[in-house]
Amino acid sequence: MAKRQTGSSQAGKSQAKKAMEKPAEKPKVATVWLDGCSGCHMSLFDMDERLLELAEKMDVVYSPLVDTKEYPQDVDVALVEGAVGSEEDRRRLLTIRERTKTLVSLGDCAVTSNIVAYRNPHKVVDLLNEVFLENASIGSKIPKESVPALLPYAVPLHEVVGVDVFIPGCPPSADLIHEVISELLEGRMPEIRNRFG
Amino acid sequence: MQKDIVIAPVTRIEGHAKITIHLDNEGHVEDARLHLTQFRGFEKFCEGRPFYELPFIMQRICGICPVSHATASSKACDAILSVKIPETGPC
Repeated sequence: MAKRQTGSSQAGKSQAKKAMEKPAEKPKVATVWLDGCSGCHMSLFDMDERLLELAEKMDVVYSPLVDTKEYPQDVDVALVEGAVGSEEDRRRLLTIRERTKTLVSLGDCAVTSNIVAYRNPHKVVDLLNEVFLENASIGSKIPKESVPALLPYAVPLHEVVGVDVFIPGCPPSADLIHEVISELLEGRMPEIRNRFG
Repeated sequence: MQKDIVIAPVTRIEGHAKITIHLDNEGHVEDARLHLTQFRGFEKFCEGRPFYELPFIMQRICGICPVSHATASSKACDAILSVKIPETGPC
């Protein structure tokens, strides 16, 4: 997998600028949950009335909060929460990267894989046995049909695709998320000063 | 004709889910299943960790309802220490 440059690189800057050069149309923004707890999305809501101001400037085209089932084409900014823990997370992230100009790792699970990586010292089969067989009170059976296979290790987003902006924090503060989105909507690449959300 | 109706993903919920509805030859619902498509293994990886870490780790089960997980975990820690927390007194 060819990795794109990460961080506030020159390539990233021109990309963000390019993303915003359509005056007639509002920038298309997506938010995604992969293997996370949704706490980062809750922090996003903590922007409170500032959400109204942002809503004027962008179109939310895909999110767990809207009903779009398929990730659209030509998304300008995607905020992705959670680590990559399953085959499905991986597949979704590859699609997101392909169709998105500026990809943002939102929160510690996306940035470092955080709590999700606590399972990494264990074999997947041991985890599944413990939860679905040993501790099951009814119907002990490991689900296999219709659920995505787990990857041997949960990894952060940039292990799979190139990431343009990293927002740390568990969860990141609403102020930090607001600052990043506002900067991106203005066509600037945000500088993250606070490493700890 | 047998048919499966799949709703994936289920939106406007916390977490990840998918619904499969199996229809029989007459088009009647034969079976319906809710699949939870996220698995992190808290039950396993918490084993052996210092107990005082757990109220913080448990909150990461769900970012919408971290308070209930923190409370339940704190109560479990109280039980481990065999302490009884007194009622809050009058202000």
